[in-house]
Amino acid sequence: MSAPYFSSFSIAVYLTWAGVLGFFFGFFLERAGFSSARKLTAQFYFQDFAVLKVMFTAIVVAMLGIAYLAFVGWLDMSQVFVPPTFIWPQIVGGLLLGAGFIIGGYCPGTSVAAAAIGKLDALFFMLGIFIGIFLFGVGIPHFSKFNFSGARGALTLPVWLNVNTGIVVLAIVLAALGAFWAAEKCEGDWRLFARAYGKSSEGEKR
Amino acid sequence: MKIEITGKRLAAAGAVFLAVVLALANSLARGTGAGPVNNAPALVQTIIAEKDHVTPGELARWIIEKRQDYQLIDIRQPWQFDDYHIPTAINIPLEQLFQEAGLQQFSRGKQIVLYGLGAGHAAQAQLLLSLKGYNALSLREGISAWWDDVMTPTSLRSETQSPAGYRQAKELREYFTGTGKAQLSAPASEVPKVPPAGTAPEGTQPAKKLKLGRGCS
Repeated sequence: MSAPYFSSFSIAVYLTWAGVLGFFFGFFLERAGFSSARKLTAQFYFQDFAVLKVMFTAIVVAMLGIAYLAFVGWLDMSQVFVPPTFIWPQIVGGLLLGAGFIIGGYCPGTSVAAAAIGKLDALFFMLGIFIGIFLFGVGIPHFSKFNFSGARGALTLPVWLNVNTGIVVLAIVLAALGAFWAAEKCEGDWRLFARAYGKSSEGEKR
Repeated sequence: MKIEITGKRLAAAGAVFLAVVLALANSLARGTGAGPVNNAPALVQTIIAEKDHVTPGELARWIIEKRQDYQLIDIRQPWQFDDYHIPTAINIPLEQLFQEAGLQQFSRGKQIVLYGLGAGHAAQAQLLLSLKGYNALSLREGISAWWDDVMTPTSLRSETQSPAGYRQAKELREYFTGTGKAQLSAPASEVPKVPPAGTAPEGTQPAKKLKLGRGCS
């Protein structure tokens, strides 16, 4: 009746579920248009905020679902894995990921989705991911001190801010709606600009 | 201004509605196990500030005041509970505490006060419950301290007390021994510090002393 589901089933069931969920994750990434490096990077030029909108919507839906399941007692939150926080390496890692996203045109998940529909650049991107993982594994003894700096344990927003989960959920929902509004306004402004100067993101694609 | 109802706006309104309901529900029902996880640093602060337990005296006041915002749980074995328990307590033995049946007996939104024979098990259970997001306290030093601090005749206590403290202690004791059902179960307690036979005659002594005390002050 409550998490962790993975300890209540055999490893085979767990892997089957991972496969099914992974399939649908990839399918909907592709359907959202996230197998296109142009669409993905357009958000960094404030032209197309589909990534922000899709991802933030997914976050809001999942967050509300989990919060309600936990509230009615169907999900034991103390059994849900929360990745530990290491502030400094996570800031640096986030910047690296963002820079790599702009340069390479993909993030890890979307590169797999794009490779699956036969995009050659995505295949090279994936190759880069594996080389990067390998280099990290080889090099970790040299920067393990940094890699574990700023440890805060499994910190969550409600604990950090010392407010109840519901307040945090509400704040994130409002932040998401604010971001959607700003994104759509930005997209509208870009369309006006493109019409006025004869440019368009569509035109650049050709 | 007429607001057009679009799918997007409907979804946005739905999300805000759900979030507001959740925020209100969470605020109303604190300590339902739905709270934050891994709040160990905050719990340490609670322990340092000695806010993780109540003393027998405080608990006695709560019971006398008939406070309804807490739930008193005896985590000892049923036979020990049947022998003697603090009035208003319910019995959930420690081994059942974290099972579905035990957790379901907790009243939503109430503070949980746990007690065992001594300090150990109740404090450990209190910590586990707190880590799960419940608002839990333990009774300091358990039912033994309850017996020493509340039920032991004031004349038998080793510590010297001011006349006011003496009166207060006597008042508490009389409340819990004076009522019929508490008196019945009191002598059968497994806490051996006070011989059951001695309870009755000494019960009369404090009254005399108190009179003297009043006269002096």
